[in-house]
Parts: sequence; structure tokens; C-alpha cells
Amino acid sequence: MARVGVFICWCGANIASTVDMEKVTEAAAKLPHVVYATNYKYMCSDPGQKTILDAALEHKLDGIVVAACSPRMHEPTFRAVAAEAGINPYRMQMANIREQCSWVHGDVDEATAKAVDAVRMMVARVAQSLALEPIKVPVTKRALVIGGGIAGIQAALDVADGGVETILVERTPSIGGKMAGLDETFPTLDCSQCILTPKMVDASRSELIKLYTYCEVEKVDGAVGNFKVTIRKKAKYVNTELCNGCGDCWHKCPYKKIPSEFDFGVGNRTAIYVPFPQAVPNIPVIDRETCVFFKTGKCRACEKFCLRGAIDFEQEDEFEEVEVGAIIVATGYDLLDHTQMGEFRYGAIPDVITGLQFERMSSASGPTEGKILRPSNGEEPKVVVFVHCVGSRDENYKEYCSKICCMYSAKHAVILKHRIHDAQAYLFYIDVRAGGKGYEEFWKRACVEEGAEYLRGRVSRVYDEGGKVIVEGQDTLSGEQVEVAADLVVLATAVVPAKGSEELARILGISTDKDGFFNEAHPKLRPVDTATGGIFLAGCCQAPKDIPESVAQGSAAASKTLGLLSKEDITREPTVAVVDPLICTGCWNCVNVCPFGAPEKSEITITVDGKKVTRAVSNINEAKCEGCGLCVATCPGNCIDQRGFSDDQVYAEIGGYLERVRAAKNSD
Amino acid sequence: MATIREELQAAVKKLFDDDKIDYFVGYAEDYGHTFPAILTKDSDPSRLTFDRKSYDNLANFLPELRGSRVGLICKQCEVRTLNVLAAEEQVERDKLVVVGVPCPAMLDPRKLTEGAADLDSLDESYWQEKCRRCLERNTPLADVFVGERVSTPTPAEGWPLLEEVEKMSAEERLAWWRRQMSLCIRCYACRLACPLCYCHQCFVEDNKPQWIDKSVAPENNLHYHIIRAVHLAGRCIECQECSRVCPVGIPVDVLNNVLSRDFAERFGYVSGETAETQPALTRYERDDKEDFIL
Repeated sequence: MARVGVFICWCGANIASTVDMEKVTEAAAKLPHVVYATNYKYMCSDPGQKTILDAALEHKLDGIVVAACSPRMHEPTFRAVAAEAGINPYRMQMANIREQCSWVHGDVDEATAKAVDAVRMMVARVAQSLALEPIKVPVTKRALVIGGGIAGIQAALDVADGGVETILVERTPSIGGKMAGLDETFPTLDCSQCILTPKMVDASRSELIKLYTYCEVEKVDGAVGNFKVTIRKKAKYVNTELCNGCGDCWHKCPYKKIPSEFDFGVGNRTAIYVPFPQAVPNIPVIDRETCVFFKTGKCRACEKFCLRGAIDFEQEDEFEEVEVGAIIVATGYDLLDHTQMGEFRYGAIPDVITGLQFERMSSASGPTEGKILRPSNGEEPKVVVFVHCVGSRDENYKEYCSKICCMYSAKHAVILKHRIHDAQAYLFYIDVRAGGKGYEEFWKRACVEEGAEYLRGRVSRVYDEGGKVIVEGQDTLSGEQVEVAADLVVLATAVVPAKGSEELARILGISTDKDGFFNEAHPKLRPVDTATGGIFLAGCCQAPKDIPESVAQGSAAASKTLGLLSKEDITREPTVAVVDPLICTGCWNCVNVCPFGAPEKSEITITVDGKKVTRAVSNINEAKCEGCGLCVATCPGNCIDQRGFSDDQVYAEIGGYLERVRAAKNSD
Repeated sequence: MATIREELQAAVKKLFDDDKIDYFVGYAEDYGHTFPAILTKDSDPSRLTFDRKSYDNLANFLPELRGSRVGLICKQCEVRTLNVLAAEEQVERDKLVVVGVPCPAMLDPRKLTEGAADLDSLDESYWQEKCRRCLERNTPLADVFVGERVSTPTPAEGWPLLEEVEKMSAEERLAWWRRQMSLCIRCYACRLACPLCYCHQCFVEDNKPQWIDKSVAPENNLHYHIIRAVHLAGRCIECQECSRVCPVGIPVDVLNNVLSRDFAERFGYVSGETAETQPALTRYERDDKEDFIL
């Protein structure tokens, strides 16, 4: 018989008001294996913990059941108490009589009966629990950052600053992300590129940061502390060792009319290109899809004019496997594809553009060199309508607020006034959300000092007539219909997760919310972690964010990463799967279903009927097992069991519950 | 079938002489019965045969011979089994020599009367049900083929008994199963005959926890047969050996057939259809149907 102590917590009135503490204690004391049972107002408090400690020593306990809140809250607390009392922490079990009992029931008798059930089940379980020792795994002291926008750059810089080697993977030819394309930034109106490019240069200069531009993460194996990541290095068709970024190739490329992705189609690029002049690295790539040589087999102009012989049409995608201890995901955002939103006629009327296209136009280094022009005729617009919440806060598209649009639209109105003094900005808004330092002051400035006209209401229709874009909407403050004949309409389109996020979530084994943004482990207390150990989030891939927030989260993720990688080894839960090699038939179902590559094909030699037989059997690599239980459930021969959740424990637990059913039957 | 017999014996002798195989799994004839036989180099191949009573699924012997070079006679049933076993890595295909045969369709022993005259001439009404559904009677992908190729009639659709059972009301069906299960003596012949039941330790023998009650009672028997059917879900190749060997004549395969049909309908999946077919339940496709998840 085990010697189990049961400690029942009131949680103030949280549990005690619905569950009869004395009755539960009395019932617990009578259970098999139980040598001591008591209750206390706050078991997690210092005196509460001392109660457990004293009782454990006095009654020579070898197992503990704490009937209190969810183990998600205080399991570590009570495991530590058990360890202090010389009891294996895995012989401490919590019976959840708060979240799953007192909080969801009103009737005292029924809630008390259920609490007794929970205690009985956990006592039966503890009696079957084996002592487990935590598994220690050495940590790979290297980090991976996916996405080279401002959040990713900041994270990489901070991790490198902590002395840890960092791999920064970016799928476009240059780091910089969306921020590199912005004009001035709210609320201070400092130039985006002027504050970003020094960081880009720092990242490329850092000895500890390895830039993997034009690369994508293909596959991720392993787990926290030891990930194996396969990176696809897309063929650039340019030898990066030889190229010095002189630019001869892209100046000579005959195919110049390709809409530039970096400029969101406002400007064009060549088939061999760097996305923008300050690109890091300043090495061009050939876009296979648009290159004339790849299409027709003729041209090779870039090759002819390259004095260093850096063009290499033979290149192929390469794969490199890297080992890292932690991963920071900073994949950023895209704008909602709103060509389908008929009311704004985006794509149909050239003078309807997105906020990001406006940024490229007003950016001094953009395709129009900072001139704001109507795409239809190249003239300066005098009346510009900015539409807030295009696809955001709209139950037909995205319910959430995209957060940055109010501020950047106000900024656009200000920039418009600065560049074209006699221009008038109209802004259709639902609410102005300006909850940041200096933000409220900024939009007030747009309104009062810069003369922007704010119209509270939604736009109902946009159409072109006589060379103007007519915007119809309602001013809900005056209650009147408004019609503005605009030269240019700028849509503040909803921010959505970057293309490919869903696929990346699958590769990384992290979850997304209903809108496709990556889920944080806890919305308030763990906003940077994911539920998967060793994978952290930064920037807009988690939710729409502005630059300071993205930078802050990048630094936060870096700090989490450094915390993890500062350890020599990490302790992993010993609740891993184990194979009984004597009954394993080597069907490898476990190998096939395991998301972590933990089951490995191995062999044993045993004696069967006096004959030596070598059998192929599965063996679980404890360092990789996350204890998810998939293999345990899949094994057709039931030869895999999970420590801490063994069949014996689970059956004992169920048996503990069935005691009540049996008792009820007997009393009938 | 004198010719196929001779051809087969010659082929097997050659395989041993050329040192291609360590074992040969085939059928031998004795006392008017055809039964499985495992030959080594030193065995006498003269009793080897292949006829319409070559019932046993020979792939059943492969997991035990894992690691050795084995030649075996393969009907369509064995080929499908082999594909499943290879996908589950119970056999190494490159260590096997598949001896193909033209399958004349196996006879249903329950339909044969004592001393039936000419077995070769018996018509479709004497066939085993599975043979009416056979997709290819000449062994596909055979390494060696013996005998004359035969034509394959258009396969029949569905299983008559399954359809009959499904026509019953729920109460009738339960009563029918109860009656069947009351016959079961738990001899586990169905398990032994099944080429895909190869666990070293069956759930039936587990006693900690004890999954099912071992005593012979209709409920326990049904429990056993249902779990067995579920363990074969997406794997059973419908060779009907379980039903054939049942000493009390329970059509156990009805349970398997309904699951196979579900897999075909829901996933377009036929177990062991080709050598490339992967196990259905451990394979994950992003567009897998999930409409059965409530």
C-alpha cells in the first residue's frame, strides 16, 4: 500500500462556498492508501505548503494529492513541495475541484460528491504513479529568426548582442520588410528608411548574424533546445561571392516593365533586380518567372555585361540543414486582397490605391521620388479621400481592428498637406483609435493644424465619373449623405497574416487563430511565447502592430530566446512514451504519426523458444518526445505506454470513479 | 492441372538451385487435401501443387520468416496482403520472390459435397465469395509466372451477406449477431488465419489492463470480434480466411467488409491495392475528409 496524504484547499470561498470541505476530508481519510487528510484555506500559501511538508514528514507519505485548482495554475508549486518533502514530484497529483467543480456547479451536495470522486480518482492514480526523473538535454546555442522585417531584425540584433549566433531567414532578396518601403512614420514623422537602414547594416555587419536572404524554411524537426531546420536557398542565379552589386546587370536588363513587389505595383523593376537601392545584401537576383532567358532561351544580357562573371544560370535551389535551440517567428503581414470588395472598385479604377501604395509614392526613394501623383494621368491630386477600416471591423471580412490604419491615414493626410499645400484630405472613419504615446496629439494635429476633414461614417460606393473618383458615404454625425469628387482614394486595407503563414504554422507545429495570426501561449501573460516550447513570436505575425510594438516584441522574443539559450541544458518533462520491445512488431506506425521524429527504428535480439531472434523494434528518443501520446494511441499492439499517463494510472483513475457507480448499485 | 504442377515444381527447384531463396511457401497435397507447406533446400518439391483448394493465405507465414529470402505462391489475395505487409514493413519486398499463378477461383469448402467429381469443372455457384470480386486472376507483379494465363471475369459488386445484414432492422441485426456470437467458442482460428494479425502479443492476452473478458459469452465474443475488426480497419484485404476457418461458421468477415467499404467510400482507399498504397490510418493528407468528425 502506498502512503498518500490528501490536502484539500478552500481557495478562500472559491471552492469552500460550493464544496463541503469537512465532508471531502472525511471521505478522503477513509480511502485506501490514504494515511492523512486535511483541509486549509489557501493550500498554495506558505503556511499551506508547510502543512503539506510537515504532514509528509510526520506520516512518512510517499504520495500526495492536492485537491485545489487546475494543475495549470499550481502544479509546479506543489511538485516543488513534494520534492522538498523527499517525495518524487511525479507522485504528486492535483485533483481539480475548482475550475472543474466548484466554479461550474451550484448544488453543494452534488459538487461535494463530485469533489470526492475527483479525490478518489487521484488517490488511485497516485498509488499507481511511478517515480520519474526529469530528462536533461543539452541546448544548441544558436537561434533562428524567420522574417527579416523590423521585428525580425530587432530580434536578431538583440540575440546577437547577447552573444548568440543567429540565423536570419528572409524570403525576399533583401531584409527590411514592409518598414523599408514606408515614408515618414507616425507620430514623429521621422523618415522610416533613415531609422531602419542603420539596423539593416548592423545586422549584415554583425559577426554573429548570418543572413539567409531569398531563403525559406522548408522543414523543422526536433524540439525546444534542439531544432533541426531545413532551409531552402532559392536560386539567385547570381554568384554572391563574385557580385559586388555594381548594378550593371539590372541597368542592362531589357525587360523593365515588371510591376515591383516592393513598390506594390506603383513602380516597375527589371527581371534581374534588387528590390530597393538600400537593399541588404545589395546583391541582385534573377526572377525566373519573368526573365526572358528562362522563357525563350535567348538574351543573357546581364551575363554579357557583368564584368565579374557573377551571373550563373545553372544555379539550382539548395537545401541546408541548420541546428538551432530556439526559433523566433517574425513573418509580418500583408494587406487583405480587397479586389473582391466591389464597393471600392480597387483594381478597376486606377486612382483607388492602398495605403502601402501611397507610402511608396510619398517615399523620397520611391518610384515617383516622393511625388504624390494620380496613377491615371500622373497629375497632382487636389482632393484625396482616405477610407479607414477597409475590410477591418467588418463582419463580412475581418472582424478585428487592424490597429495601424487610423494613425497612418492621419499621417497620410499630414504628408499630403506638406507635399501639396492646396490639397484637401477627407477621411471616412468609424472611430479614431489613437491609443499610443503621442498618437492622440498627432491625429488632432492632422485635424486642426493640417486641415484634414474627418467624416464619421462608412463609404457606400465608389465610382468614376468625368475623370474624378466619386466617393459616396454617410456622415453619421450630421446625418447627411456625403459625396466627394476625389482625385485619389486611399484605402486603409485590413492587415492580414503574411502569405504562407498557414503553411509555416504547419511546418513549425504552432497554431493560428481564426484569422490566421499565430497564437501566443497566453493572451496576457505569455504574449511572446507560442504553445510550442522554444518558438517565439514577434511583430505582425501575431496580430496587427505598429513599429514600436513590433520592435518591443522583437526585443522581448530575443530576451526569451537568450533566457532559454543561456542554459547548458534544459530539463524536459519525463512524461515521455516508452516502447515495450518484447511485444513491438516494428510496424512503424509510431514513426509515421510522430510529429517530432521521436520513435526511431532499432533492433533487439531476444531468445524465443530457445532460438535467438533479431527483431526490428521501435525505440523512443526521449530527447525528442514531447509526450503528446499520438504513438501510444496509434500502436496497434499496445506496446507503447506513456510515463505519467500509463495504462495502469489511467485505469486506476477510471476505477476510482467507478467506485461511486458500484456504491450506488449496491445501495439500490 | 498436371502442367501447372510440374511447372511450379520446376520453378521452385530452380529457385533453390540458383540460391535465390532460403524458404519456399506453397501448397502441398496429401490425403486429398491441399494445405500450406514451407520448403527448404532439402525438401522434396514433388508434393507441391496449386489447385482450387489452395485456400490458405500464404502471406500469413511471412512475418515469421522476416529477414529470410522467401519465395511464395501469390494469388491476388496474397499480393494485396503482401502490399499491406510491405507498407507496414513486416516484409522486405526485395527479399521475396513472387511466384505468380493463374488463379482458377477458390472453391467454397462449405459448398463442396463429399467426393465431388471434377473440381475443375465446378461453376461460379461453388466459388468463394471473394473470388467473384477478384480484380485480376493472374498474379500482378510476379517475379516468376507458372501456368497459362486466364481471363478475369467482370468483378461482382458488394457482398451479398453484408447487404442482407444491412437490410435488417437494428433489433433484427442485433439478434442476428447475438445468435452468431453465441456460437463462437473463442478458438481464435480467425486470428490465426488472418495474415494481418501479426502482433507478438494480442490485446486478448493482455491482462494489465485486461481489455476484454476472456470468458465465452455472446457479449464478450462480440467485443472481441469488434475490436479485431477495428484493428483491421483500413488494412483488411478481404481474403475471407477468418470466415473460412471458423469451425462454427460465423461470417466474421462481414464486420471487416463494412469497414473496407467505408474506407473505399470515404477515402477512395483500397488496402493493398498497389505496392505504393500506404497504410490509411497513419497517412495524413491535408484534404482528408473530416465530415465524420462531429
